Amino acid sequence: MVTYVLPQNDNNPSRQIRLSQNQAVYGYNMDYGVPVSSAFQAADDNSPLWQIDALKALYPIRMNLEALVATGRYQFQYLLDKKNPLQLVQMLKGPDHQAVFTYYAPDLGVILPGSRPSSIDDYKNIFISQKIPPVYDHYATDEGFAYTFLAGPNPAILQRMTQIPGNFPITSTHLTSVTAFAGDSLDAAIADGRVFYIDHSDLAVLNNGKHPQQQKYIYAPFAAFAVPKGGGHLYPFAIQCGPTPTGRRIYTPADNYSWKIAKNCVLAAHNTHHEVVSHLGVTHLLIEPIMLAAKRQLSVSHPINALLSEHNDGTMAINHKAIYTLIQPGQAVDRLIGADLQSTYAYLGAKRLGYSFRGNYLPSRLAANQTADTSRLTVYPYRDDGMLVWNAIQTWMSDFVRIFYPNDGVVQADKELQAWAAEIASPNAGRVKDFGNTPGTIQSTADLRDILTMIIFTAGPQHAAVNFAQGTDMAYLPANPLAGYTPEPQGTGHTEQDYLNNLPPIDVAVIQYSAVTFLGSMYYTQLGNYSQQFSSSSGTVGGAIARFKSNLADINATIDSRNQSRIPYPHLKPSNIPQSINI
Amino acid sequence: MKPILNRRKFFGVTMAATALVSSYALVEPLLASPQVETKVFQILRTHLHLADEHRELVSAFCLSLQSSPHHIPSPNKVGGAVGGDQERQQLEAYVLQEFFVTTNYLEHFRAGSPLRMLDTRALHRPA
Repeated sequence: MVTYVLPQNDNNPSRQIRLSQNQAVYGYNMDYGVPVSSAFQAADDNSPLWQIDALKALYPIRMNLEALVATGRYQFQYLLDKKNPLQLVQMLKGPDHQAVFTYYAPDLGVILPGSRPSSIDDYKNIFISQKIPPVYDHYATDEGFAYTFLAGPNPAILQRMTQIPGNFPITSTHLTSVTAFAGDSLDAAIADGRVFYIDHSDLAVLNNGKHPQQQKYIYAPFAAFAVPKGGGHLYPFAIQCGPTPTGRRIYTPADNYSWKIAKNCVLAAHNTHHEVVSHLGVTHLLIEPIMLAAKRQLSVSHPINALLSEHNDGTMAINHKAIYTLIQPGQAVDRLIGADLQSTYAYLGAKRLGYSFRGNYLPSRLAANQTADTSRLTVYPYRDDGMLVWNAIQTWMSDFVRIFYPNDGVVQADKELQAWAAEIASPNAGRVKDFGNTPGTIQSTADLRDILTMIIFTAGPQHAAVNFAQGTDMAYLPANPLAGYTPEPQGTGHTEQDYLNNLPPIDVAVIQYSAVTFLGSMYYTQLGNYSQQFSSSSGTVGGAIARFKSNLADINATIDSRNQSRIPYPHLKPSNIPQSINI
Repeated sequence: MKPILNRRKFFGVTMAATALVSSYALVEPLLASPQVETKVFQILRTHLHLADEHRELVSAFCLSLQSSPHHIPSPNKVGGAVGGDQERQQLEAYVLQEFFVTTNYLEHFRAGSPLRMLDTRALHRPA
């Protein structure tokens, strides 16, 4: 049985020697404006079981693409690579994961002579052997659009409006354009706490990108939503497609296809923010330096290193793949988002480095957004399920910290822990802002509990929320485009063809389907399933884990029950949450 | 009691809605053959060097192919008739890919772990 021990109780000299070895190997690389590991060792690579799960997720995509190509509907720029059984086995047994990904989810290039859709059905017809995701059934309605901000891929951005934003001058006329708000007034609705909004005006710093066959666009919109007086659904009622009102119209649902194009502008911005910030920036690239600092500052004998190792399985490997493949020129992110890579990297860096760790503890985030009140916003699946899971993790961390740290003095005397906290907060290393109540040090058991809760919540549930919703909500492109292909709308009177022209072309829809279906269907490990070595390290640890798993099972049942009476939201159901960011 | 959805019923439901009917025709004769275990074992021995000690696992794998709804029908025959060597290769590729996702072969190959079946239910996770 492995025994974990704090450094102040350990006289073993090999403890420091091994840490020094790790510090010599692993450093911080700032080439992309955010700290990532400078080294990637064989031991950091994905396990064979991860590779099997990845193949499970990839295999149906290849089948679907083969079927799509076989229809002869499109002439793609590149042919599907064919392999005989010998070549297939060599590839699957080999060390090159990228070759496997490229074979099963290949980039077929643009469509010749042009990639524009001839009808909205062209997007649906990409799905041959795979089912169209359920979002197809409700995405086109205004309620479905609003639901994206409550249970979609980027569900922590919605804010309650306490006053009309200076750069988004909405009025009662906009609100009452929606039948559900007839006789209502904007001032009364704001005073009642029934008005919410999305502010993506800071995306104005991004530059438009370029598709090989046409110009693409990113927008910096505002969108406003409200709940009717008697409660009920959230409805969108106003969209401004740019960061300032000058020269812009505020669209309402009464504007027909102009409104639909405005909704696309909001989705393109929201989904670009999702991939760049909410997904890559503040899950993958937030956890990376925390785990890197653990490798460098916490001995393998340290209980917190043992805990974090369980929540770091595959993280450095997937981050390595993301940084050196996914976000490179011509790769998936470049192909999908509306912005160019150069301005996107700068935006990513600014957002990641400016992200407040402590300010984004789930209760704090919801309080800051003023969306915690369940009487004002009665259906908010991300909040409702997320808080159950947050509280379960916090209870588990409370138990865990109590086992090893009976009082604040023991926390303060743990030199490895203090070095870890200092390195994470350091401007020369982890660059994580507001890491706990006293950034750079940890002074109390309560602070340590909350820091560990946030790490586990980010690595597990938060990443699950932003990652797996890609598969359910983004694989069918019109439900969630990441770019526009016409400038933001001016005036009104737009047509169905104008709406279609604004959507990304079919080659992008194919790439989006492949990439997000893979990411969104790759389930490896499960929250609460700790290794035998860790859970048997002491009876008290094992008992606390058993309580945690029991709580998670109860939450599973609660969410199953909730999903009977709402559009199902499976992403924060504990049985669907991995232990770590590994995809 | 709810009837168990076996492979045949699953295909019956889903294939009608897809363009993969012909691929089913490619795999079905193999699965229905009394020599299915021998044929599958031969493919796995040729390409993955499985030994006689793995015959029991191959039996379980064949049973899974025949009865579990969580395997993917081979799409290789979509889009036109194939035959002879090409059809043999497609069938072998199908068996091999299914084997890679139904067993821990990669773990066995890389880390020397005993070869075992995996829980194929994990192929379809939420909701």
